[in-house]
Amino acid sequence: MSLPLLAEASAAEPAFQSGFAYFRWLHELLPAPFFHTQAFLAFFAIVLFVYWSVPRRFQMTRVWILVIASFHFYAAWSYELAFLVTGTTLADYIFGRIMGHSERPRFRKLILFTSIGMNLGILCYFKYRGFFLNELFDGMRKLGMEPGYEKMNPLAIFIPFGISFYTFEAISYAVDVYKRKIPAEKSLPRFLLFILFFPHLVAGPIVRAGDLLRQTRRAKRWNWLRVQVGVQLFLIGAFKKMAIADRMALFCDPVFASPEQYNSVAVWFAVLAYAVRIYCDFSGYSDMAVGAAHLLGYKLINNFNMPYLAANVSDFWRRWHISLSNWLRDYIFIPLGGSRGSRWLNYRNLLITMTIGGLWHGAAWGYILWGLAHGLMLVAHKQFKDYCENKPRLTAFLETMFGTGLRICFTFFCVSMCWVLFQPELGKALAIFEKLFHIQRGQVLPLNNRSLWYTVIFLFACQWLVRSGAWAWIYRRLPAPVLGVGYAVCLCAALVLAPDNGTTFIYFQF
Amino acid sequence: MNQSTGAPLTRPRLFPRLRNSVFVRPSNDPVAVARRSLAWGVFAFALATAALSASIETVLPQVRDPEYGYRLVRLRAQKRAHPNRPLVLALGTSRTQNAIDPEAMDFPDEPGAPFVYNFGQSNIRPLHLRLFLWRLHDAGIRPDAVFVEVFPAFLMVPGPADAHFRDTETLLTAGDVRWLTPHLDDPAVLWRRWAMTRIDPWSAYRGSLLARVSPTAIPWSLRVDHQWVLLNQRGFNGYPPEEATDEARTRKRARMYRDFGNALGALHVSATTEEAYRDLVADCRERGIRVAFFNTPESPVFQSWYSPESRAALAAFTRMLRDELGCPVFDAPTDFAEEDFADGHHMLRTPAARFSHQLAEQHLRPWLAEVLK
Repeated sequence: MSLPLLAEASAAEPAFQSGFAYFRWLHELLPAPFFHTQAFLAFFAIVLFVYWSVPRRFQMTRVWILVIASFHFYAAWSYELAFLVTGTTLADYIFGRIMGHSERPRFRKLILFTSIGMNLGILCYFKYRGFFLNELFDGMRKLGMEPGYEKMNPLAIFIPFGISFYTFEAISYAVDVYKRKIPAEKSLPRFLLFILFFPHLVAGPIVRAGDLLRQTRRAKRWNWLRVQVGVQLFLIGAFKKMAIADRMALFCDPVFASPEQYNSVAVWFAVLAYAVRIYCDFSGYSDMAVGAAHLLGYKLINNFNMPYLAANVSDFWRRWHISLSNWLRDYIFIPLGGSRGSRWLNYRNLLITMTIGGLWHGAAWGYILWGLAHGLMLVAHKQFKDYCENKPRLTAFLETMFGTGLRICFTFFCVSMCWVLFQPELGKALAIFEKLFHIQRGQVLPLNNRSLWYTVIFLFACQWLVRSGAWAWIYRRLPAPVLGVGYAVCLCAALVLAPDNGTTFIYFQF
Repeated sequence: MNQSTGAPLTRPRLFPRLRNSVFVRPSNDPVAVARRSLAWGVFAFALATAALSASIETVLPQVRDPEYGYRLVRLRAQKRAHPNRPLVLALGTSRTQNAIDPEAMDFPDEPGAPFVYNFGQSNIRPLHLRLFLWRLHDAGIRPDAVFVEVFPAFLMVPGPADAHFRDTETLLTAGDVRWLTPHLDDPAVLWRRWAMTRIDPWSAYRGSLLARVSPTAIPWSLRVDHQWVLLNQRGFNGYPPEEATDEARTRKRARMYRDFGNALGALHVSATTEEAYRDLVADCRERGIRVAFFNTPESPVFQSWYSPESRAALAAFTRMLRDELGCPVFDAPTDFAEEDFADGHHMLRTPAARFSHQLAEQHLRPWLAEVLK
C-alpha cells in the first residue's frame, strides 16, 4: 500500500453506516465496551445467567458461551475489528499447533517469528503507522522533499481498543510454546477464550496462556465466596473510576488541554489530580475486570498493589501495572541479559526495556520520553542503592518511619512529574513543565480545590488502612448486614459522585 | 451466721449486654456470610433507591426540580406566616425571577393586603406556565391572582410539546407526565424516560443531590446552588451586581443575541403558543384566579433587535390578550439604561426594585384593588 493510501485509511471512529444490520443493532445496545455503564451491566447479567444456567458437566458449552459473548462485546463496538482479532487469534492458534507438532528447531523459530511478525505488524499498522508517517513527513520536509501525503492528526488516528494488550498476550503464548514452557493448546474454543475473554480483552490485565488456559479446563462451580469477592472488586473498581477518576478529570483535563491559560498553582493541582486520576482510572478498570472474571469463575492477575505507597521507583514498578511489568521483564529485559553482566549492560537493558514500555503505551514522543524517564529513574535508584551500601547510618535513617515517608513522598513526586509526559502531545507537556517551574499568572481551576484534597486524603487513608492490616482486621469482624449496606453505599456514592460527562478509560487507547 | 443469697449481687446495667460484640460476625461460616452480605447489599440498594425515588416524587421537590421546589417550600412557609392575605403570584421566566422584587412593591403587611410572591422559572415556555399553575394547584397553593410575563422570544415556539419536555424528564412527577400526555405526539417516549429516572434516581439526580450535600464539588460553570442561595423569602432572585461588569455585560449580551437575536428579528406567534395562552386564561378563570399579563423591561440594545414586523406581531398578540381574552397587559417601561441589565434583559437588583415599585404603583395596585374586592 502506498504512503498516501496508508495515511488516508485512518478514521477516528469505526464506520457503522455500512455493514450488517445485526451489528448496527448491537452497537446501539452496547455503544462502548465500558464496564461501568448500564448497557454493560445488562449485557453482563444476561451472560452470567446463560453461563451459569448451563450444567457443570457441559464445560465446553460454557467456554463457547464466553467466546461468543466476548466476540459480541467487541463486535458491538466494531465488528470489522472483532473479525480481525478473531482472525489473528485463529492464526496464532494454528502457529501454536504447528510449533507444538514440529521438532525442527529452525522451522519452529521461523513459525515463531511469523507469529510475532504478524502480531507486531498489525499493532504497528494501527498504532504506530501514523507516528512514523508523521515523523517521515517532518523529516522529508526538513530535507526539502515533498512527502506526497497529508500529515495526520495524532489525536484523530483510530486505534482498536486493547490492541496492545492482546498482541502481547499472543506473543507471550507463541514464545512460551516455542520455549516449551507450555504445550500448544489443542482446543480452539479454549484458545479463543484465552485471547478474547471480555473482562481482559480491551485493557488487560495481560494474562499468560499458562495461567488462563489451565483455568479454562477446570469445570466451574458456583461459589458464593467468589461471587462476593467479584462483587466487591467490581464495586470498588466502579467507585474508583466513577467517583474518583472521572471527578479528578474535572481538575486536570481542562488544564492539560490548554496549560498556557492557567496559573502555576492550578497546574500543580492539575498534575496532582492527574496522578490520582490515572491510578484510579486504570486500577478501577482492572478491579472491575478481575471482579467480572471472578463472577464467571476465573481469576485474573491483580494488576495494582497500592503503587503510590512505593518507597522507590523499582518498588513502584512492582506495584504498578504488574502484568505489564512482568511481561516486560520476562520477554524483553531477561532476553536482553537482565541483571547479568556488567553494571552498564544492566543499565542499558533497563533503559531499553522501559523505553519499549513507553512506546507500548502510545506512538508519540511523550510516551517514549515517559518510558525513558522511568528507565533513568530506575538506573538512578540502582546507583543510589549501591551508594547506600557503604553508608549504614544513611540506610538506617531511610529505613525509619520518617525516612520511609520521605521516600514515598519523593517517589510519588517523581512519578507524578513523569505523568506530565504521558500524553500524545509533547508540546503541551513542555508547556506544563514551564508553568510548574516558572511561576506564571492565569486562570484558576474550574472548580474549588477542596474536593481534590479530600479525595487525595481519602485515597491515601484507604491505602494506609489496607497496608497496615487494619482493614483486614476490621473486615473479618464486620457482620453481613453491615457489609451489605456498605456495598449499597459504595454503589450509590459512585453513581452520585460520577460527573455527568464521564470520561473514557485512559488505558483503552493503548 | 452466713446469709444465704439467692443470686449473686450484680451492678445494674444501663444497657443489656449483647451476646456478641457488634463487630464480631455471628456466623463463622464464610459462605453464609458471603451469601447474606450480598443479599443485604441488594436489599439495601433496592430500599434506598425506592426511598429516594418516592421522596423525589413527593416530599423532596427541591431535589427533583430545585428552582420550583425551593420556591414552593418558601412559598408554603410564607403562606403560613401570612394566612389572611390574598396570594398574588408573578409567573414567568428568569426575567421575572430577576425583575420582580415583591418587597419593593411596598404592599402593607396587614390582613387583606395582597401578598405578592415571585414564582418565575428560568427557560419556561407557554405550556410550562400552565403546567406550573396545575402543579401549584395540585400542591394546595390557590393564588387569588396571577400576573404572567410575556417573553416575546418564546412566542414563536412551535408545537407539539414533545421537544420541550423530552429532556426535562428529571424535573417531572408522574402527575406532570400524565397532565402533559394529551399535549404530546408520542407520550410513550416521555413516560419511558421518566421511568428511567425513577429506576436510577442516583444518576438522574446526582447534580441536585451533590449541590445540596457538597456544592463546592461541582465546577463553577455547572453549579446550580445559586438558584436557592440567592433566592429571598419572597421568591426574588436578585442578580449579583458584582458579576455585571462592562466586559461581562458585553460578553453575555453577545450570547443573548446568539440565542434570541434572530427570533426577535423575525417574530411571529405560533398557533401552539396562542392556544397555550388561551388555555392558561381558561384554566385560571375556571379556578377563580384573576389573570393579567406583563412585559419586563429590556435594554436599548436588546430593544433594537426587534424588527418593525416583529413589533407589529407583538402588538397584535397583546391586543388579542387584552381584547379577546379580556386580560389587562402591563407594558414595560422603556426608560431603563443599558447598565441596569446584566445582559440586555436580566435586570440587576437595584433597577429591579425600581421597576417593581413602578409596576405596583401604576398597574398592580389599581388592578388588584378592583379584582380582589
